[in-house]
Amino acid sequence: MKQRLFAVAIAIAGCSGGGAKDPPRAEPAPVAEVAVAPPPVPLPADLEPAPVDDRADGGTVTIKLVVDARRQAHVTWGRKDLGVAPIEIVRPRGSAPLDLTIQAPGCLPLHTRAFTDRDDTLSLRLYSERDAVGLPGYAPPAPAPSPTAPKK
Amino acid sequence: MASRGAPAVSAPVTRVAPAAPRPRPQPLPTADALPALPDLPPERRAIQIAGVAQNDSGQLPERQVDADAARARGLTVVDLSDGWAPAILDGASYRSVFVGLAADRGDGDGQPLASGERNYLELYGIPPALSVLRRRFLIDAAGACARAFDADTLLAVDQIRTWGASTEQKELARHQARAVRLRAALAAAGADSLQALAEVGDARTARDAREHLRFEAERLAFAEVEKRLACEGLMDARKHKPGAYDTEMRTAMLDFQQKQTVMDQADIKRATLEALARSPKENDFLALRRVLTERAMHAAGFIEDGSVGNSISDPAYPTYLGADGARHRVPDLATASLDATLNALGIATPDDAVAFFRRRTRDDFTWLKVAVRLPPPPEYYSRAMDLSVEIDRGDVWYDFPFDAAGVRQPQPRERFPQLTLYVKWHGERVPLVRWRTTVGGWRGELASDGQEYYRYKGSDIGPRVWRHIVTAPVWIPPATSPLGSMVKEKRVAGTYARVTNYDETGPGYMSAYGMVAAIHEEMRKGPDGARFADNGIRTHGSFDYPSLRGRFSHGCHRLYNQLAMRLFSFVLEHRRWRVTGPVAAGYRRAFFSKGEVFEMRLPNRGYYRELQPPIPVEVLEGRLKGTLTKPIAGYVPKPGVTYVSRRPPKASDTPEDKAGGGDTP
Repeated sequence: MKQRLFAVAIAIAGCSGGGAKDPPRAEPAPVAEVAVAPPPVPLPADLEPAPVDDRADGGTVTIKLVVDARRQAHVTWGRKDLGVAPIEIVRPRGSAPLDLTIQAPGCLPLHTRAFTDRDDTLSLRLYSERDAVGLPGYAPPAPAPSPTAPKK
Repeated sequence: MASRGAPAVSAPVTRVAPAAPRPRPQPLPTADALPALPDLPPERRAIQIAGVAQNDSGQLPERQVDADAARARGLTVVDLSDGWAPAILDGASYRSVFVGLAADRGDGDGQPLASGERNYLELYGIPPALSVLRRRFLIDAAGACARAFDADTLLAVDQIRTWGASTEQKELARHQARAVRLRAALAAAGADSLQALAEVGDARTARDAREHLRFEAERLAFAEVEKRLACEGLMDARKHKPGAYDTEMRTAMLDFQQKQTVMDQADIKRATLEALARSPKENDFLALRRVLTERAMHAAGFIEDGSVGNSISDPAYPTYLGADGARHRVPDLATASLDATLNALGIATPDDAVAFFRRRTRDDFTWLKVAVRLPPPPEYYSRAMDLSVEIDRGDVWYDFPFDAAGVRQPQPRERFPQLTLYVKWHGERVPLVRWRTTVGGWRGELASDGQEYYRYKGSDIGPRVWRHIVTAPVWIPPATSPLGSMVKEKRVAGTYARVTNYDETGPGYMSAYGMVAAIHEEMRKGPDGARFADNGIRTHGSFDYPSLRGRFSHGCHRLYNQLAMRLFSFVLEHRRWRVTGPVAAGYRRAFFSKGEVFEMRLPNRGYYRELQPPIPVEVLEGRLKGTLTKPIAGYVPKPGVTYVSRRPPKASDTPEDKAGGGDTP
């Protein structure tokens, strides 16, 4: 709406030919007090939240992850490889829980959570495809497409 | 029509209605002034503003005083630090997550937020920390966003209708077709404007003209919404198709609404338009007022918020008998405490707030407190108040909401459920707060045969007690819970991963029981003392804030999360209790999803406190509507559904089923 008004104003100015001639001289305008806009206040450098304080002021907890050592199960926390189970994880007490993934040859990846409010031992059961059949939500893997099957 | 280019930043200056004049802060009374002590350790520091601005710089004579001395002087020390959390969270491990969420430092699991990510969780009961408000104020004070949109165009409509992608295209096409018809009608009628045509044309043409004008106004307003969301940094204009209410814009709108506590849920209704039309700084100021209200109420252990009547000036407003023999109105301590806190900070306007935040650094919010002369507590206050609760179920329909032909039958309600907290004082019950709550009703539920039925999930009536208050309660999902929502993708230690979803179970603000719950127990007195029975009903906070505007629960009485925390923090302040601590749940469930195994582990049910003695709760039957006087027991097949089983299975009555049970809790 405002853009339209602006366009109309331009058109009117163009019709009057105001740009081509010198404007009529008027009485010199009284000297007005010019309001000088204050310079913009620079933003401080500390606007973003402080990094999470991960110091173990409240002590630490030890979480033992127990898996049959013969499985050679790798424990990861996001990108971090925590090692092969059984392992002990030491974390600041009361820090965020850890969403861990345990992967072992011949087993389905297992996702579990370790809490950090107290020392704990987690005995983990790993599932092969065959073991997982009885789990809620189980769906067999989709069959591999036959090389002769028509492509969709 | 909607803007087709990138949002303009050179839009005309916004004209907004001038703000009502606000009273200037009053100078600190001499009796409250404490000596300045600049070398105090952080935990003993509070600030006082000892007067009004002395010069044009707006610099206020602020000084640091001893917080303990302030308390001894009868002042209340209001915690403005980022480490603040409601008292009800003390002792619970979830407290640190709450603090991280409020300060935009962590997510709901306590993991660090990605750079630039923000939490907008006020509607979920987590007000932003003061350092977050400082950031908002100082960025918005530059004013660029306030000049980037036209408030008048936004307020020229009552709502902006929006649609899904395909319907939106159809509606735009219909609009174009209507425009063609109207051009022809204008020419035929010799009318000079659509307004004239709307008044003189035949009924259909007039209707078309009105609809066209309305649609045009909405599209113009829509373009301003786009500018507004982009300039506030909520919408990435590069990812948005101008003129379309696409995912990018919907997400931005939800963020905006949650930031401004508007409950329109991505619809663009009047409340949203009004919030959009306000300058960002005005919105920041409203947020500051909400945050300071919460901080002051918790600091003082107050609860009265003016909710027990329509207006405190109404002659029918509740009163209590004072020691002076006169009747006094139940005060609105929320408004009075906010005003006193703003005054103590020397803040009356958004610009005062900007000046306040400019004086502070981020590190100040590791300790900042202010000494405030709050209104004195009413005389019925004590450490052991005689509190009781009444829950009125409002209008109740037991009838099945479908007729024999499967057509839904209207079941209107005029009276909605309410929770009232009372104190007994001089032999009278004095209402302190009265808030909307929920009751149970007809709900869809997944039965043990894997099929969904209707079931009346009512709220028990009669006398009950609150004996246990549970902070950061955990909802244990029944075995019939669908698995669909039990896995989510989220950022874990530097990468995205699929993890077990603990949002609904808690502990957390998204938990089915909210951030705090009181268990309704039936107390039976016998020769061996009192025995208690838990029928699964709780009064609890809820993330599902829209449900408090007229939907049904599974039988529980929901409150907005922040009110639930205010209520139970107040109870802790004014009743005797003991800590039971985390109550073990030992829940562990493995399930399969997309080729992987997930374990859900819930070590405890939350952090318990036992009230000594319990608080009496009376649940009133309400006003029965319809023909039935008792609820139908068990499952009822849904109209139009073909069931495999001949008879529905037996319905479960565990406490967990009351809160969850397979659909939105």
